[in-house]
Amino acid sequence: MIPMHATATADSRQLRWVVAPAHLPPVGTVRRAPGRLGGLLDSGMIEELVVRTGDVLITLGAGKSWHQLGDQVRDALADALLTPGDWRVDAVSCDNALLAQIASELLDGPIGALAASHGGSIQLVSVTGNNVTVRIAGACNGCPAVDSTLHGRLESELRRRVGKPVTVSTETNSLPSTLGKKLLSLILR
Amino acid sequence: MLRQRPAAPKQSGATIKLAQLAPGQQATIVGTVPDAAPPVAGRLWQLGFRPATHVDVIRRAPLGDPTIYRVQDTELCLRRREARLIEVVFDTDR
Amino acid sequence: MTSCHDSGGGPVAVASTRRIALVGSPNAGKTSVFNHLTGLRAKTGNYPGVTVGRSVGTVKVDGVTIAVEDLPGTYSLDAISPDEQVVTDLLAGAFDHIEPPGAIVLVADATTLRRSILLVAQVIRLGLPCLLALTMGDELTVRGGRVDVDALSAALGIPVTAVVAHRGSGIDDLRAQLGTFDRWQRPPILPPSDPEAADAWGKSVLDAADYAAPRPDQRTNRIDQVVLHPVWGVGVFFAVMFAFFQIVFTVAAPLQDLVGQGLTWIGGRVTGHSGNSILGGLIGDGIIGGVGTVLQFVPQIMLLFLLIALLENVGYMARAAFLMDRVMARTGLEGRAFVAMLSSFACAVPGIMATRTLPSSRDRIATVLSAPLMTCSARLPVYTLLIGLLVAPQTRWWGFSAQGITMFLLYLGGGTAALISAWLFKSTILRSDLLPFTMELPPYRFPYPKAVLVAMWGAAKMFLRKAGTIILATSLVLWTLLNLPPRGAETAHLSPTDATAYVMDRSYAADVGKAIEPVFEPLGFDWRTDIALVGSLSAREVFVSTLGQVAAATDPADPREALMTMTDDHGRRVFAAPTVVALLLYFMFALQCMSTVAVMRRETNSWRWPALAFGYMFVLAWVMAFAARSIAIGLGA
Repeated sequence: MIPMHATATADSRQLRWVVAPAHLPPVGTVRRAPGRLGGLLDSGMIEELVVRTGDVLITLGAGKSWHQLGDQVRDALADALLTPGDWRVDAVSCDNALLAQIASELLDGPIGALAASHGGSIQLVSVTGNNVTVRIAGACNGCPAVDSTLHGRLESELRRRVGKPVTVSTETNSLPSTLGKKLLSLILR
Repeated sequence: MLRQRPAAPKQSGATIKLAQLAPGQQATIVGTVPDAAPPVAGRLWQLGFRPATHVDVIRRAPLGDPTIYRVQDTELCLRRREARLIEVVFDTDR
Repeated sequence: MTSCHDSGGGPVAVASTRRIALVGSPNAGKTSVFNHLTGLRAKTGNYPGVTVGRSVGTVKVDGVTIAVEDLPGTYSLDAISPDEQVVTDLLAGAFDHIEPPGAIVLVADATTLRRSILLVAQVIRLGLPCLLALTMGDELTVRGGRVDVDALSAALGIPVTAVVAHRGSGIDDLRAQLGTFDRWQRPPILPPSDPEAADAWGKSVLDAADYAAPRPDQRTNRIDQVVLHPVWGVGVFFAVMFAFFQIVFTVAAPLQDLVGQGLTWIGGRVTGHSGNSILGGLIGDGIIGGVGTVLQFVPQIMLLFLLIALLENVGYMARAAFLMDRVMARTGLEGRAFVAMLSSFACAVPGIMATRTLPSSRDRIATVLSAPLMTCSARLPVYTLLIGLLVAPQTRWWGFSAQGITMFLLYLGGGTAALISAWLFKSTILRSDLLPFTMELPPYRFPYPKAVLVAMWGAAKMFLRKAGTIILATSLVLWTLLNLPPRGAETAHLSPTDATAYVMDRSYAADVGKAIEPVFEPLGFDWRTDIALVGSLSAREVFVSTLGQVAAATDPADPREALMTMTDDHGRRVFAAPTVVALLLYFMFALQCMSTVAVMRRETNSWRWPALAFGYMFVLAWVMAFAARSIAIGLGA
């Protein structure tokens, strides 16, 4: 089951459901959700569902209380998160700040951990438009797997979360070294 | 007492009973056997023997029973009678 | 192990207004927190209708008195033992006359939080105001773990306080919060009840709290490599057992002698200075003689309890239970019953109280019924006296002291009898309910002097109270019965010694003794022995002081010689070998201790079990004494 817990917010009808980013659908306000959660949203029991970078904000309809609906919402949410691809989300205008936040969360989380387990590190340098620039260090520098880690996982995760064609590039991205890396990876493949 | 250690199974998916492991071996818990009495199964869960949890077999008593296991940061002993109720798979990536 | 022989008579009354309960797993440091909060002034008793002990104390916060109840340790609100059932029932309000508490303080060990977070979920789900007291935070850090207490509090939705129970830091903070439990933060929704969902919830919460699990405790690992080693471990175990017996016989001896000498001196001054000879006799022989025998054993008892408390606090007792489990399982019991039996070598009372650690109520009762057969310290003066009558001090058998060998055999006999008795009970009327045997082995922790001394003082208090009340009362009554009616006129012409003997032979005690003589006649006991037996129903030590009085009446200078040569009405030697052997076996098996009966009653919450224990042990004692006597006579002793 997907780990999650709820904490209170300033609004008594709204709870912040903390879920690991890897399980979350794209960021934004939810139009449609699968299963029972969708049912609750459509019927107005849930007034609003907003997916953020590390949690889902759920606001109940007027007159509804978490005391009544808590267990129900939890079960429905857990169910719905099993298929994040089925959610229909109004993507937010993706500004640099949001992209940077999502990227740094991923680098602080699973992607960074993966790099660290191999003795290296990946750090965020900057974000421009749809491009995220990172710096690789330690054992990752020169490692042939860097491509699959960076471009493969990081890129696809970012694209999934943001819903835009995000690209990832490394800081020391001079043409000869890029070509050299591509040759090396071809040989080693 | 020397006992034949069970060899790691050829397919990593084969489950064996926790009771079959020897001290020094490690495994990941799959669950409890279906015919375990519910209170016993519930108690084992509560003590930390949950699916996808890592378990270390630490040592066995000189007389053969019980055995000390480390699970969820705690060292617990179980008799063979209870260890037979827990299904595990060997850790393949350790 | 807290104070035994408590006046745990009536129910524990608790003010109806503000009540807080402490809930947590065993080994979480809950009792430490309780002691810090209530300052050791807790009242103990039993929960109604069950054999589970209850501890309630009070704490004063901002002028308001709040009752704090230390609930039994539990791993889950889905109970599998009577102790755990009490926690579940009390929190659900299922007890007729006990309201659920107003708030709960959850005590959890920070180093095992990944496991106990499920209990936290269950307790929060009850809907009462909760506060989490997190213990062993220092140990968590030392072992490479970490937790953000504030983030944990935000994720759980309840207040969280870090407490280092042994040192008492964080306790003031905790105490201050107890006054305002109505205003404690409550979670917006309750954690899930489904075990898998609760597990997922727990993982999420700990992740949000930046929880890093500690590494396994290296020091414990290294120590256990030796202590639980198939060869070295068994060696350590026997060394510990040996230490026990060394204390009983050797270490305490000089202290015992000191006490004995002191008492003799006092006794001498009193009888010497007392103008009124009856009063002098009363105080000198009755009180000081009777109580003195018990006081002589206080050093030994305290040292034994010190050792037991040390072993428990360090964490060795769990290892001993682990090593002995297979043996105990043969009798139908389990490893923890061994610890209870071991404590009974000092005194059955703390041994019986130690059965609280056994989850199975049938295991508990079987151990309670069998533990008194273990050779307790009170039997020692009796054995010493009787062995002295049987075997001359210098005798050697195969190079060893004959007296020593006999004593060893008696100890062995007691231990074996206890195990056989437990096995019999567990095979018949107390057959197992097949509870899973699971036992936590906590890391070795440095025994905090305060905790150890508290345990030791509790035991000493118990012993002094036994001396001060039961034995004092019995000694007074016995002395009175033995020395009245005074028959001043008839004895006027006799020497003081002869006069005392004359009075004693015709005293009220003699009447009673002669009346019950038929019961013990086949065992060879005369009326004086019978009186001593009746007197020692209260406590075994009284046997020695009573016989001492009787012997001193005949020959104050050499009581042993008096007993050796004492003859009954038919001219036969009273303490001939077969009779002494019969007496030894009688004392091995008989339940001659009111304190034990009282604590049995308290721990099993009924008179049925103490009555059964007394009955079966009396029959067993009589039969074994008769058998031994017959064998001794047959062998031509």
